[in-house]
Amino acid sequence: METPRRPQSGRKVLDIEVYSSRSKVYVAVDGTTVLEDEMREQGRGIHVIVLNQATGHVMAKRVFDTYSPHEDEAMVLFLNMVTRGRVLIFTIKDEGSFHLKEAAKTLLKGLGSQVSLSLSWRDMWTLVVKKGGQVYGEKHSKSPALSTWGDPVLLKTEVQLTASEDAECLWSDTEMNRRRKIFCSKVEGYGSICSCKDPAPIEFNPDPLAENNVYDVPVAVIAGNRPNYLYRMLRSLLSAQGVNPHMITVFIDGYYEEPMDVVELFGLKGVQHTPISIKNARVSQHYKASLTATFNLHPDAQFAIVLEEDLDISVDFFSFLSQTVHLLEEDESLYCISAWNDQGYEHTAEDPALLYRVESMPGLGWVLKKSLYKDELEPKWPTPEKLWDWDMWMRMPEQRKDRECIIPDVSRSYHFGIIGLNMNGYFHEVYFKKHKLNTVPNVQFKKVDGLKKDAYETEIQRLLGEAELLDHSKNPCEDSFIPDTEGKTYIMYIKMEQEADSTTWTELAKCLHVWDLDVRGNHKGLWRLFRKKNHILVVGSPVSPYS
Amino acid sequence: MPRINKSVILALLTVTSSVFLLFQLYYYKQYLSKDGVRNFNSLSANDAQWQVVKKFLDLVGRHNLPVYLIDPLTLGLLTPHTQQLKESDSKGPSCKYFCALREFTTFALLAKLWKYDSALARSAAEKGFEFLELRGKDPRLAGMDDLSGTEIPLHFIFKLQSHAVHLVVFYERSGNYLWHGPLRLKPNMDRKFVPFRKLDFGHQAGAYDRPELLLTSIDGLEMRIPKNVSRFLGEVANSRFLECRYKEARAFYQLYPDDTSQEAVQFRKNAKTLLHLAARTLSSLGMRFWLSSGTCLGWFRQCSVIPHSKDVDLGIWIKDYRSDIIPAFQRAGLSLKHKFGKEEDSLELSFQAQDVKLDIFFFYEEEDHVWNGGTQAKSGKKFKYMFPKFTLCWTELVELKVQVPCETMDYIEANYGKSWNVPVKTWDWKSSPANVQENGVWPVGEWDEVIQVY
Repeated sequence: METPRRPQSGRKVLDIEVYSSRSKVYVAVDGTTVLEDEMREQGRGIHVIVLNQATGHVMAKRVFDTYSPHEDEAMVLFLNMVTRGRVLIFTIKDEGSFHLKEAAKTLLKGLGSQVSLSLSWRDMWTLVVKKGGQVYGEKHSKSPALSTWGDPVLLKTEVQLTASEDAECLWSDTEMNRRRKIFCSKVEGYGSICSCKDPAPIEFNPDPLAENNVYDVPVAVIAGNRPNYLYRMLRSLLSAQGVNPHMITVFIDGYYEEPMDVVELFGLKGVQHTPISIKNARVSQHYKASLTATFNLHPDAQFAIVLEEDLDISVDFFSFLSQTVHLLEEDESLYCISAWNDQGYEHTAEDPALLYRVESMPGLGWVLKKSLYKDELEPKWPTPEKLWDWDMWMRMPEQRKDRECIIPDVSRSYHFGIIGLNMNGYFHEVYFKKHKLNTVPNVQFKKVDGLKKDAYETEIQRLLGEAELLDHSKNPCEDSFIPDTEGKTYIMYIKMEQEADSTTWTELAKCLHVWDLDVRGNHKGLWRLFRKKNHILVVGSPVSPYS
Repeated sequence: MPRINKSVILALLTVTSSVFLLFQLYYYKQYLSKDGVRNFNSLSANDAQWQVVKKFLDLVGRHNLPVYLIDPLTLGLLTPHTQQLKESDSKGPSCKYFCALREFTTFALLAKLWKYDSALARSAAEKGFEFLELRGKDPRLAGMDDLSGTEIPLHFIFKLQSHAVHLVVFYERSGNYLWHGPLRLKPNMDRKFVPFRKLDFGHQAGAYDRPELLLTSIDGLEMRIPKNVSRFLGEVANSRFLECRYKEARAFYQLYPDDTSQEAVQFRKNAKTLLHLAARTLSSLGMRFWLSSGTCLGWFRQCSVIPHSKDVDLGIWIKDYRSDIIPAFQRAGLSLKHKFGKEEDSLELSFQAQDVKLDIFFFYEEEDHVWNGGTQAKSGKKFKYMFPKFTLCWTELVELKVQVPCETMDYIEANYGKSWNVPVKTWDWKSSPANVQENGVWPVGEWDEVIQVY
């Protein structure tokens, strides 16, 4: 092994190699490859690596597909968040200029690039620069013709490391700042929590909850490798009223460092799980391992709160659960309590104090009863070779056994994940973006015990009694179907021949822009939602007992 | 000028010196009762232990650590009479417990009641303690899934001069028991820090029932102790805990995938319920038992109930036999299916629950081996199953704290031979076990007594 060179100043010097070409990119730091991508059909665009200027360690790795639109904006945002003094390495794979707009090019120029303004179609380019400092090297090769790529470019340069003090901020010495220091010297891309002046808080002191019935309920956060999502989620979780950080455990599906760093930044407990199987079966096995471990870590707990890394949590999430958890204890006909209303969009959800019983299991922030898990679900959880979605499995009649979940009209969680196994930008746009999240603190729910099995039927009968029939000669998809009133209750009937007949409901759901991929949110053939601030009862006839 | 009376001066002097003497006496008494005999030259090694314990209790009190005394020697000295909470006697001639010449005093801490942080280490240092913390893997994450988290604190040593307090951290586990870990030094630790070999706790992992605690005063120091001291001390002798062999179980399931049929799931559910019921019933009778035969094999080989095993098998020492075992199980809802043998020879009981049978084998101890008996009802043939001698260890199966032979491999191999790792779906109790021997036949005259089938 070569001994590191030490010139007069005595500081180590890093050898950096950066390669840019049509089909392959790589970056090597002192002989160690920190980035290598020669897979076809992936990794196109500008790859960015951030090194710690005192240790040479990789702090962040990103790729921005600036061939496609909007990625350059994301790159600008990211670069603006990186702390001054870090070493930035850029390299293009395949094509990175098509949607690299002025703003991004100017930013790169501001960093020190001589060629960014002239980057064009299928050019190859590498750059090593210190943010707010010198340029260590830059190489560029133009593509000679539209149909060809520029020649591959290999940049070899040296970067001298600085003293560690130069790479750190001088925050006051508290337990919290010690965690911050460890995090900020390892990871980049989290913006102002690493600012020397006025760093963003990592400890939140939300109001405690009087009579908190879920203070001792363990919270399991099921996570994968989306650390920036995890960061956003934990921030909202730790800001919710009545949260008990000691009961939170984050379960990471794999030995990924950055999510674990985020967990430790907030001073929480993290557990890593050796992944088993593939695709949705891998997720399902991870859920099982996490839930089993949760009840092992907290043997006295009768419930567990299950969350995921791509959810925003409402400020009254724990207050909501505290007011409703006793129902799960007392009513055998309940399967879960969930914070998510599948049909709760900005235009269909109104009343933060309203609760429903539904025959679906929404997940996305829910309470699992220990006896249900230990006695029924765990013993027959799908084995690793079954490529099933855990939540679809839980919704099957063999598991659900005709039990229902309690949900709020206005959801207490918001699903923000765009990247994921089952997600993409379009899917998010259509089904998740306009979902309503409650922002009112300390909501007191109305008549919670009225959600028990028999009491709920009484309530439905009362609603049926006071509901006005809508004019069925009009088109239900039109806004004019609902009169211009507020606060009234209306009823409409849709055709539903048998239990499995979802044709009419699906049509209606589609035109109302609510969830239409499968039937959710019904209770004995009845759906409840709001339109133009009126409460609408949708009854499937003749199947529903309310028809 | 009046001549000053001699006697007046004398009187004055006497009064002054008496006042001075009284003042000294008063001050001495005050000082003495304040912090003990710190400045006294008669300080001996005996007092050192008391000092250390007191300092430790002050430290943990300040950090709100709810500790309780588990020191076997000290607890053993306590008589029922002194366990009442009384007025604190000052430490003086009545120092009986913390003044022996010993290296350690042991306390317990329930992890659940304390949020761990590094402030404790710093305060300990400030108080003059040399502080050692030992961490280890969290066994609650051990299981069929491969999980790992940060290591959890298992033991603390607070050393001051010649005495040390050993604080053992107990964790609550499924199965309603407390567990503590073994004390293992990491390679870079000072092996001479304290005489580790003399510790009472930590040679192995241990399992205990959750004790009810009592607040009491010992040698003038207020502390908690287990309410039922003799019961606790009995547990100490018998506390060794074995973790299930999850790694080997996972390897087993790679070779022989688990049966996930309805029947298997249902059988496991019934077996779990039956095991819990049997444990409760036997515990109420004060009868020790362990997992035997197929149930033991299931724990050892795959950390679960073998789906094709058909019954739950338990072992009990014949010396622990009580005749009210049968009515006890009947009261619990089981019916007696058969009773073979007699207390003197080859006793065996079988009870029927809904869909699972509970077989209880009574073990007889000989000089160099132990054995249990079997009987074939229709022929009166007797069988004998021999095992090497074993001791009993605690473990966990189906969320229950149960015992198994500590020398499990020897036990399993005796019963199942070297190929115990290969599942056998058809098992004949008369011929399949590796350790079965024909043992004669019951005399026909005795059949009514030794062969009872219901």
